[in-house]
Amino acid sequence: MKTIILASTLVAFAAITSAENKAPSKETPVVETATKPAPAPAVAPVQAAPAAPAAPMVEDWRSNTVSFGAQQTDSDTISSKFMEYRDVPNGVVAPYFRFQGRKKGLLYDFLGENVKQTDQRFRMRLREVKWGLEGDYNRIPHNFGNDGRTILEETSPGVWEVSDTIQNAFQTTLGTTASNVRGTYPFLLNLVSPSLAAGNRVDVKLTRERGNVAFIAKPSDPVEFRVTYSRERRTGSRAASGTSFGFGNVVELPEPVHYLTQDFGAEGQYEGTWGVLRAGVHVNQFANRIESLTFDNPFRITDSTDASAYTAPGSGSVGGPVFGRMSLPPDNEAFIANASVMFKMSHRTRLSADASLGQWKQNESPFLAYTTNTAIVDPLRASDAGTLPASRLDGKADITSFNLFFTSQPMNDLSLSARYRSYEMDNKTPRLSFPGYVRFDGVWEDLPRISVPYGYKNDQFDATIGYRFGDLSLQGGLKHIKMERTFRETEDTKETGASIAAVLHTSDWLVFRGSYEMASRDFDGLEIEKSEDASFQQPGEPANLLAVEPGTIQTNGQPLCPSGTVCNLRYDQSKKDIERIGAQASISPNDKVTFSVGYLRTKDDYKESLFGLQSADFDTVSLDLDFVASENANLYAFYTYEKLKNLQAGRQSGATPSNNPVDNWTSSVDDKTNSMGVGAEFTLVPDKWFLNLQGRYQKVNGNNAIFAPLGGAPANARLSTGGVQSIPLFDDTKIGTFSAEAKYQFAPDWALSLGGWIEDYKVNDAQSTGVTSYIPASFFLAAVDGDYTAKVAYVRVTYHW
Amino acid sequence: MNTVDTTSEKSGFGAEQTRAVPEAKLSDNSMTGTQDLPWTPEGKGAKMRRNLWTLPLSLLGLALLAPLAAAVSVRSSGQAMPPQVVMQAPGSTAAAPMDHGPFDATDCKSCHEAAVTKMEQTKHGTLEEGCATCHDRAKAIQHSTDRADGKETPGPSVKDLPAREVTAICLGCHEKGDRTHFAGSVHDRKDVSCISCHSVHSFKSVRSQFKTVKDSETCFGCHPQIRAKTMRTSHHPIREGKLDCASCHNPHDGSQPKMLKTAWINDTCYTCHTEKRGPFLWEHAPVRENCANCHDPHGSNHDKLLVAKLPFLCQRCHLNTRHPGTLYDGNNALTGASVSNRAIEHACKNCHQNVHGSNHPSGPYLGR
Repeated sequence: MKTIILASTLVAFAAITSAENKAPSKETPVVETATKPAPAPAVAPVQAAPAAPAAPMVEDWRSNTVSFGAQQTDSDTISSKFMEYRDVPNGVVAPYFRFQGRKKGLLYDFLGENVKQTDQRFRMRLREVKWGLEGDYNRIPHNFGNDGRTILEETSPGVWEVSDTIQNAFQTTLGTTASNVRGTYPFLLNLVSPSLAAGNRVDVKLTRERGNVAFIAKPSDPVEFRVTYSRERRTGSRAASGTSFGFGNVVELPEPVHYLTQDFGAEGQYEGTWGVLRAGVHVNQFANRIESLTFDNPFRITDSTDASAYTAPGSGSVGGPVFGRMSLPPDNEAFIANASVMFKMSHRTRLSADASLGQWKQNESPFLAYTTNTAIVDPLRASDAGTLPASRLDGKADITSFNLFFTSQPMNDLSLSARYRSYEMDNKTPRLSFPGYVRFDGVWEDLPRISVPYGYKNDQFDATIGYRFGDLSLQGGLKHIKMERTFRETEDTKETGASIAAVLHTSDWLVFRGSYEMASRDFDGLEIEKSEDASFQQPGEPANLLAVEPGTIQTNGQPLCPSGTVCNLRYDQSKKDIERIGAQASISPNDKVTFSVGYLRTKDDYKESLFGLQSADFDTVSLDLDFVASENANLYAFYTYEKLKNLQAGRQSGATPSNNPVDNWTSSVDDKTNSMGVGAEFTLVPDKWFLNLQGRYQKVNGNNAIFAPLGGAPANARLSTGGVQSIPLFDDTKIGTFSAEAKYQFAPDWALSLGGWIEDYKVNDAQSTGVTSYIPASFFLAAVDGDYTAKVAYVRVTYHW
Repeated sequence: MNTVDTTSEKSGFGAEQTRAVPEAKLSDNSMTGTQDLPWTPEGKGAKMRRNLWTLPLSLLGLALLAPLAAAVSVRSSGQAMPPQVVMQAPGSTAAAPMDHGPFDATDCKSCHEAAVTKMEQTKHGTLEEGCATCHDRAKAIQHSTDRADGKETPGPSVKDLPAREVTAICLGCHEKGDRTHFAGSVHDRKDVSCISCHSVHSFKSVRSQFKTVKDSETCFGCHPQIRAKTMRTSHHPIREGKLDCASCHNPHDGSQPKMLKTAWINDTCYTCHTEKRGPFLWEHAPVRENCANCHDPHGSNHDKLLVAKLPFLCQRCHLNTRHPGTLYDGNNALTGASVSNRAIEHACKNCHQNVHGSNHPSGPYLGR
């Protein structure tokens, strides 16, 4: 795709340049008399006008810019975070070129950014009256972590192996070590450390290479066709996990990514005085060249089964498979056809309807066997894919949507709008029954399961009425949302709300927008165990507190939930009150200063919930200042304060759901964020020297306050370590960037820029900062994605002609 | 340097349009690693190919040929004319707009060189009615006449007009394609007009004629909390300029909630994350239903744009017996005395990797 876009760019540009060179009337302005009829003679509109009005301005023009230079980058670590989505190279750089103009009615524009870098982008556009051609190639790097360490090695795409020698040695050692020793962290750390020290280094990163082309044809003015093709290739790896052999043996590895997504589209549009008619079809295909991730078990050289989830290495087990295998995203495809019509009527009235029909399919990728473990032969040979009830999923879902939209201004100051929309994901994937499954490739679980093709339907209606009183506009609205779900605890949820809004738009100095919205959600058709039971062919007693009957009596003699309430329903269906407040004022006392202040509050109160999410609040205040001090100096500044507060609760259980309230715990997460930025630009010497300064800073301070009452299971488990502890280092981060650039215009067409920037990033998180390659029960890559301080200096020459 | 309008006479703009937006802000590319500022054509840029002698001669020739061409045009041209904007100034005694021929844009250029030059380089520059396509012809004539008489009267600035009238002018030609449903949309109802975001005469962006270099900066003007979210450690590459707000949203659309480009949020996500579309053998209900149940696409301090940190996010629904419902506190963190692989790094995902769906027969718990 990149080649196509680049080639077409070069060919087209060469053709244009060639035509330009050959043009016999190069110095004569070109007037598009063929497509733009000359105007009729008219009364001279103004006294100093030419004898007759000019034709449209269609003179040829061109504007070419090339920027190149050199850059030096200095970073104090190899943290991937510095170049998470970008490339900041050392040496020669070509950050920008653009060739644009009009030649004989053809508008052309070729643009390149970060040429030769891994985050390069090229765009092109050709436009004529009757046709157009657009292309875009965008390469997006995504660096997750550098220099991760693993004792495994990728021997072929998607296959990671440990040397047999190591596997053999570890298995033998575990087998000959006392059970009270072999499961201990010091013993295991000592065992694996030499191998880790000699292990492999791996960067976890992927690249998206995304290309789009579109051809637009306008055979006649009201008709337009568009044919599109997009192609995205994703290659590399991403931070994966889940390559686990059970609680006692997690082996983190990069997940291989080798995806290709293609989209073919055709659209048509007819525009008449009555309205617009549109229709289109799209076919979207996803293909994954690597369908599974296979990974060796460092502690096993021979397959064995084990009844425990704590397979080797554990105090109670030395069993497990030689290797495991995980499924990666299967190929899939989607087809969608849509049509819409919009009618224009008087009084700014618009009535429109959209409908689309689509289908998703997933049947190309064959199922993997239950397990890789050849030791599991009872009740079936689980490593043989032939024992599966089906070889492929035959997955399909019908997607339908319908929108009806009406808006009108029946009186000059009165406006109305109403909207109805429906979206349905009708999952028609057949339910497949399995006699059981293999847990972590280690043990057959004799629990008959059945797949659950979840689906849903969303219906939404909203209406707004507004009236304008001079500069003030007041609006009121209502909305109703219904969500139906299959295989879930409730048949449907309904959310009903109302809103008011005001817009004050004085003509010369003030804009104010404010709104208040409140809504409430309720549910129908509760069957609290339905979701929990859905995937079991023989469901037993609920294992989830959120599937326990609300009236179940607790050890304190009270029901689980207060009478008449359902306090243990999942938060996407539970009763909820919603409140939204937004206000923003922008004040411009003169044409040099603009000051804006904004406030936004959202509050979700899961009013009956005592378990799961109980509340989520988000408050922000923003300030923004723009100041044009003079023609030679201007600046801006902004500041945003955000406060996020979530409260959730749980209950710790053993083998059965606890009915003792003292086992409850709560987690109250409180994130405070300060973000600010400043920028200034100065003309030091008009037309000669310019200075640009920019700064950004953000600090996030997160805290997770955790509580569990004394006497309960969580508190009892922590008696020896000082009790339940909060987590004050909860994704705390700081990032600051400062940049400066001086530009010297040393010739009319040439400029020299000297600049640099410094960026500092700090992260402090109790759950990820400082992780090592082997911690209890887990191999982690411990790829470097943390703090960095980077300095970049550059010199750049820009030529324009 | 600044973007205070150079196309009007600086009198009585709408407050929103009068905003003094410093060039420094418009050109801000900080935190992207790509610091260059496109050299816009109108500055040292575009050189109009013109010859001092041939231009007047051509105009003279055109003037002589105009009656003939116009007659032919009337008979043969099947092309739709751009909608004529008729907005008579209150109390104006100027002739009705249609009494005049197409407005002579070169007259505007004699005073508004920079603005017209830049506009000429876009599709707007090819419009038959020239400046009068959008600007009130009668008012322009009055303005020009008065200036010749030494009087200062406001020009036909579109920025003087109420938002809805501005929008009506633009939609006269642009009410199609992705803009079909702008009328009655949230932006429209809140008096956000086309020129709140776009500039016909002094745009900065590479595409779509935004007032700022980066599309997203235009949106952040009214949505500063979104800007703050994009500065988070976990973010889509918006601040790096690889995606922009319009990658997911259609700001002109009134038919979809949140102005998304697709009929449902998951369909928007699947445009880039097609591997998560499925259907899968083992599905995860809240994932299938709404990606935003777990992710905040605008940015988060938690890994993978999650709305909450693992394992707590999972524990909002999975309060099962044994480990899912167990409390993982500071004791189980890396700083604690009892480190647990269910609480650190990817937490639940250390084992349950395929939370978006699994196609593995042994994946009912999304661990394979």
